Amino acid sequence: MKGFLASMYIGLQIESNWTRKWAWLLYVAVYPVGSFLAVLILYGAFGQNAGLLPYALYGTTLYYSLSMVFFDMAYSVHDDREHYQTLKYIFLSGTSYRTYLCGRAATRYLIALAGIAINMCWLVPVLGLPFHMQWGYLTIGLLLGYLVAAGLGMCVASVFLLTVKLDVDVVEALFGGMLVVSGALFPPTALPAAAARLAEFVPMSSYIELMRRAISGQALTSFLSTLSMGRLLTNVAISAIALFVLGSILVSFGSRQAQRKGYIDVTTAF
Amino acid sequence: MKKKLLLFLRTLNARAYVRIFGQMRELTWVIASVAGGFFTMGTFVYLYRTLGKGPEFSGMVVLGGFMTPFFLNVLWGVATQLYWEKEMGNLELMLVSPAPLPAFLVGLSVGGAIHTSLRAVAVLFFGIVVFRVKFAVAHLPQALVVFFLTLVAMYGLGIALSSLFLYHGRDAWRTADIVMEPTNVLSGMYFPVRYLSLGLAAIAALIPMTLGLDALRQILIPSFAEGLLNWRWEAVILLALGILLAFVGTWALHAVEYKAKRDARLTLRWQ
Repeated sequence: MKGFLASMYIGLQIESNWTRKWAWLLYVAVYPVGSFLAVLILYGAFGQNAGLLPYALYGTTLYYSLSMVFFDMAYSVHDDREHYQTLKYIFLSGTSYRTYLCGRAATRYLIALAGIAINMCWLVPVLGLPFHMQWGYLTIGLLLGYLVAAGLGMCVASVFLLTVKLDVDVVEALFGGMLVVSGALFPPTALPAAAARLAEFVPMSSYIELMRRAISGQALTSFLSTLSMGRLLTNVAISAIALFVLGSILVSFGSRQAQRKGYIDVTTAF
Repeated sequence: MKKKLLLFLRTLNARAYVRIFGQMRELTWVIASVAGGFFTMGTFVYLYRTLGKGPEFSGMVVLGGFMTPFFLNVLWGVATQLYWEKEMGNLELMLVSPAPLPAFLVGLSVGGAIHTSLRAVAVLFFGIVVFRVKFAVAHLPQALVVFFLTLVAMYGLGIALSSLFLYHGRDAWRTADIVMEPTNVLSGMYFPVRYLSLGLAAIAALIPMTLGLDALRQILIPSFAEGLLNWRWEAVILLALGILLAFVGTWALHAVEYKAKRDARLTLRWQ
């Protein structure tokens, strides 16, 4: 636990100590705007009749919270090894690398959620978004969301540990692929039949739908609408546990192999 | 004079070579960047289909997807490069060498534009094949001229921004991170910029990609009727922007290099 908290603190320092505190708080509040600006413009200009704005807005902001964790965990391997050249010291420390990654992910997740919460304070009243919080589902959903994102992040981090030449473009491609099928931006019913079916089994789809309903109090489209909240929660819990366990195993394996192969302190300057 | 020019061209060639062939070394890099661009494009194509929009919107998105890699290359591959060179300890070597710093950046831009073109063409190809988009090719020479002018202006902007990154450290990095997505959106990457309010559209027009993309859409998609200005005017503005940014970039680079030397920030890492 001490190592986890220390990693959270390091994560906070890396995220925030490049500027003054007030400027950083402003940064936290403004950063998520980029994630939903396209939604506001596109659905505002073309989709007013479709009534999909709340669906897309909640979806993209929730996807953003997961993707930030996912990206940060994968990128931290590269950043610590190549940029700050501190990965070897993290491995030498008493804290396991998995704990370190999870600590940093927790900070990133909390920062992303804070940014979303700040923006929801003006988006909900200004746009008249449906807002009937179900606090129980929301709290459990947020915890499970962390496990989903951290699990996926650890899976990718383990790959990054085992290669010194993998570019972050790979993570962005995974992001992009999951954004299409996660139903964050539009209901996957618009996709070809096979992809629409696949979307129902993507862990992020259930999580985003669960959280959408926990915030808005209703199913906003027909996508996954046949599933009850309890069933959605069960799906998310199963995915979260499975992904977190898989990620933990992979990152432990990746750490051992990386040490054996001497990938911990390799720099390539790319 | 001849010696100086030769040195400039040799430096340009050396930096461009690294950018072109270095980026081709790993197949995963090429595949991932094409896949990333394709998925983002796919997201917006399906979004428009969800909203019941016609095929011209798919064409518009595919052109946006084609230009996105260039924008990302300008921001992360040119503007931030001097910052990375500083972080890796190469910048001091570059500065003590007789090679001119602007030649490094022009080489970086030329190399970046060439290697990004291959990826952007791959994204365009998959977009056309998968989403069955049709473009009018009757005015292809004009489209190529506009495309070239857009690249010159965009990379000019990248060179101008690189001086900021040279002086500022992580704060400039974070600023780039925060402005990337809004800039991407405001430049009309996935929708006609005319749908923005007049004030926002005027601000967006300062980003060369906004005008370039709008002009390309007017030329290549006949049913596209939401252009901001006539594409000929947009080409003229792009030419003017390209020249202006080249001057501003060179001036800013010398000014910031001097200031960074004076304030001892050229070798300051991890800040």
